[in-house]
Amino acid sequence: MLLQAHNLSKLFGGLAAVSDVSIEVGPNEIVGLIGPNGAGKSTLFNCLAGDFRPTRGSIVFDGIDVTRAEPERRARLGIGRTYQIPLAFGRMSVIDNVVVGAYLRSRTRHDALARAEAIVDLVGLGEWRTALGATLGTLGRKRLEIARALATEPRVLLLDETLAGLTPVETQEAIELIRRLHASGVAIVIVEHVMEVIMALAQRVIVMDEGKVIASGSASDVVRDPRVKEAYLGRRAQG
Amino acid sequence: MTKPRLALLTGAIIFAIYPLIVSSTFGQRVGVLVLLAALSGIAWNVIGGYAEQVSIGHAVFYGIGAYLPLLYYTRTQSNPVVMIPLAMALAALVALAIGIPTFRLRGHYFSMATLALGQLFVLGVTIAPALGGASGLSGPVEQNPWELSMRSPVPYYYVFLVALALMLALVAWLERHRVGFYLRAIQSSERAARSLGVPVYRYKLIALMISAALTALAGSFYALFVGFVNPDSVFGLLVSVQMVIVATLGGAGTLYGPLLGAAILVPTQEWANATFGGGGTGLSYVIYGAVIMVLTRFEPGGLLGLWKRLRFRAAASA
Repeated sequence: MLLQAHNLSKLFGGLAAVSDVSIEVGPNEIVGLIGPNGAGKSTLFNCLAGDFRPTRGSIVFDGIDVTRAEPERRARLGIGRTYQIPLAFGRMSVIDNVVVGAYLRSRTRHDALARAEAIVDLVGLGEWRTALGATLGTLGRKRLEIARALATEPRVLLLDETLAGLTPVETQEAIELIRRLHASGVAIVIVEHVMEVIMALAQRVIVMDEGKVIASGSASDVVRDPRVKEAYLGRRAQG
Repeated sequence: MTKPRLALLTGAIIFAIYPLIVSSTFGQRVGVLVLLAALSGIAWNVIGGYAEQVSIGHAVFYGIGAYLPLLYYTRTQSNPVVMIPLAMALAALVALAIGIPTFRLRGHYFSMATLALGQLFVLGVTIAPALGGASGLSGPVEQNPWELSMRSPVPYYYVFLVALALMLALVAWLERHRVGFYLRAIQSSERAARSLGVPVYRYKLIALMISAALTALAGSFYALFVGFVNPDSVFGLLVSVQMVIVATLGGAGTLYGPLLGAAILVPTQEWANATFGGGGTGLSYVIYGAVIMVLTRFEPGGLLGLWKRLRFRAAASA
């Protein structure tokens, strides 16, 4: 396994945002992580990427215990991520944003720039390369987040609602992009509300609710799971 | 030639010939003070502007730069200039000692910590007889260019101008390489920067050390130019605040911002002091206060930010 979380819990005060969660992600796998709002998906991501320290449990990446490792060390080891609310470097141009990520695996400025140029083209931001991060729209910022993370050459990429708010055409483009990334050997964990995306991409789906994993399996299996239906529909019925 | 290049060349020519066209000693002195303010502003900008870790205690490094050469001269009667590199190294070490605990703090907390440290240094130096106490230290009196002790401000002007050019070249280099990219990323979002593998803590320390060493250089130059230092004149709060204002007025986090800020602020200040006399220091506070209010309300990007915005608007409407 490439990335493993064992019995992970994250408490905020008395509230368990993530409670005793264990997940595994294999090399070159696409795992979908779904669940209603407040299920703990983003908190789990933040624990995996190092933004939060888990209260209990452990995280192992490629055989190395990274439970207490800083985010920058995890990035160096090969864990890349995007944020639900994109954090573009607003006063830097698109290409400079990506260069920041590219420096992780580049010794010289020339290498970093060349790497960044290629990635900016790959994610379709070529014509915006000199635009400031702050001037991009939602789609642009999300692409920029992916580009920056890709520039660090991750072995697993954690995508946090990267496709939310996109038009159907844009969603299709984004799905194609993720497929290409996957084909290049990157494992992907994707948090998404749009089931169409999960169905199209994920080889395995993990469903969370109230901080716990309530189901996991193939996309078609989990949507039929009564616990999953209850987590989504039961809530809606109660208003 | 592109417009920015033309502006740069014009600026460079004006700075190069300024003491030749301004013959009054007062005017030449103002020129030197502009360069000194620009040097310390550029130095502050490395950490305060690019990484936006706003230090209000940079006078600590300025004071170290100012005191060490004069202390050496007072004790040994030897050339104070030789102490400049040591003062820069000492300032960088002090920066490391300050940075290690304070960079665990974020945003306003870092600023508050540096403010408090600055005041501690004023107190500490004032009560230390070995450092001249409240009455301070004096430099060489006889003229000797090798000791940077001269009557006319003009030679100082050109020495400082060369230092300014070198400092700008260094910062321009940093800006284009890893350090510059990392600092600007830190300025925008530490969290995102760390997720991309940027060792934020280490780079803040590096930037603070570079900034401190360069600030000490400006402090040494000031001491040798004025020939006299006391705790308030180099460790005082006003010294730290001037660096912040000079950089933000011109444009914090930009290469030429501090130079522009110094070229506007210092002559205004000197003119006001000369015109209104006695209450000089008090007036500086009024000017600084006014600049802070106007900038935060209308143009946080400083004058270069305003210029960029206007150009962008003109281009958009064309």
